[in-house]
Amino acid sequence: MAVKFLAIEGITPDILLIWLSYLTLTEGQIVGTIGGFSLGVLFDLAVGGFLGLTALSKTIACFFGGYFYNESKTLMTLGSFQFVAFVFVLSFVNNAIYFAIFVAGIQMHYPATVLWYGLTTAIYTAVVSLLPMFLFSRKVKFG
Amino acid sequence: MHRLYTILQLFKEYIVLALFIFCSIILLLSNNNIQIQYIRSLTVAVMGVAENTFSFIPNLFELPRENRILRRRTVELADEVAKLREARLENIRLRKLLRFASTTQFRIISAEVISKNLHLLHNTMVINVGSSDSVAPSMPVISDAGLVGRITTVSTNYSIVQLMLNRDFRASVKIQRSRVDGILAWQGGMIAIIKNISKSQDVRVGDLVITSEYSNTFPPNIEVGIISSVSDEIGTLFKKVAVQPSVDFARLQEVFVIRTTPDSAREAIFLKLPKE
Repeated sequence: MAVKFLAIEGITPDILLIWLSYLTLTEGQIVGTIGGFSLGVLFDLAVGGFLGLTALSKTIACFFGGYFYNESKTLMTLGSFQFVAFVFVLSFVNNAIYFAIFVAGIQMHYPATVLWYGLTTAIYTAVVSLLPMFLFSRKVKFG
Repeated sequence: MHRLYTILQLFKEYIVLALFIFCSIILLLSNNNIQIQYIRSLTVAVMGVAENTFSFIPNLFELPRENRILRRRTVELADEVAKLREARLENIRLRKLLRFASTTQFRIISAEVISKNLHLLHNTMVINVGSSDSVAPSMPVISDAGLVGRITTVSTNYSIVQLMLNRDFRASVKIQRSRVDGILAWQGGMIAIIKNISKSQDVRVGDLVITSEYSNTFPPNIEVGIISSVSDEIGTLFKKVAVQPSVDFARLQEVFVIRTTPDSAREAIFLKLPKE
């Protein structure tokens, strides 16, 4: 409901992905992958849509994000624009996989769909991730 | 065991990813919407291409059984092909006969040839119609090609036909073009001859020979054959005219019996003619 309240022209930020990005950066690839799958399944069950699709896209996105995991630089990454960029990339990867299956067999052009829905959602999600980023940057500054 | 554990430790991220991707796919396939149906059909197509690409690799354990099955099937199919070929040829033949039967002026009884002799002096054939089909002795027998012979003996369901290629066979014939009359007879081989054509008569190779109206047995204008050679007989006043029969007796399988009987009054008046 809160997410729909934030919708602009039907584009909503992926709050779940912001949290998964945080999880992946702090806990690593395996935890991120598990988290991506678990939350994806729960999300699909809650929403009642395409069961398994969110799970798949978030699993792969978090696994990909796990390559950027660096134990020693976690807090610094979280409190900088690197985190925003990270969220953007993960969101784009998530949407690319999601729409690749979503548009299969229906009259939707995949590149156009990814560009419009995927890219704009990634941008919006990245913009929303600025808030936790600023919170973490204060933590880094003031300890 | 230790090696396996080392491998698992080394690739644990990928193992976890593979496991969750597998679970996600299982969940995805539990849906039945357009996207999944499309993906299913795409998968079948890809599998089909892959199977086709690798189909040249034989399954060695299955080969002997496959060979046995294929050999048996080949024999069955060859038999079926032979039967179909025969049926096709019979179909063509019967259609031709049907066309002839529907357009002919004669009242005819169709019959099949049961047996025939073509290498004797008195060649005959047996057909599968008899008195039960209203067949009587002396009835003419024809095919769609022309004159075959005449009925000589009749039983209930079968009849014997005296062929044109028979020493005892005679028919009054006419050359269609020049209207020259003669008597058709046979003296051996697959050729008939016309007797009693004088040397002055107009007869040429290629002329069509038909039955004449003088015959009491055969209706007129039935095709008999084509003149194949004409020569003068030495020491006589007559020509030797050879006729190639229109009917191919070797391949004859279906015939027609013309339901006509000799005119008894006509026969009686002939008996009263003064004998020379």
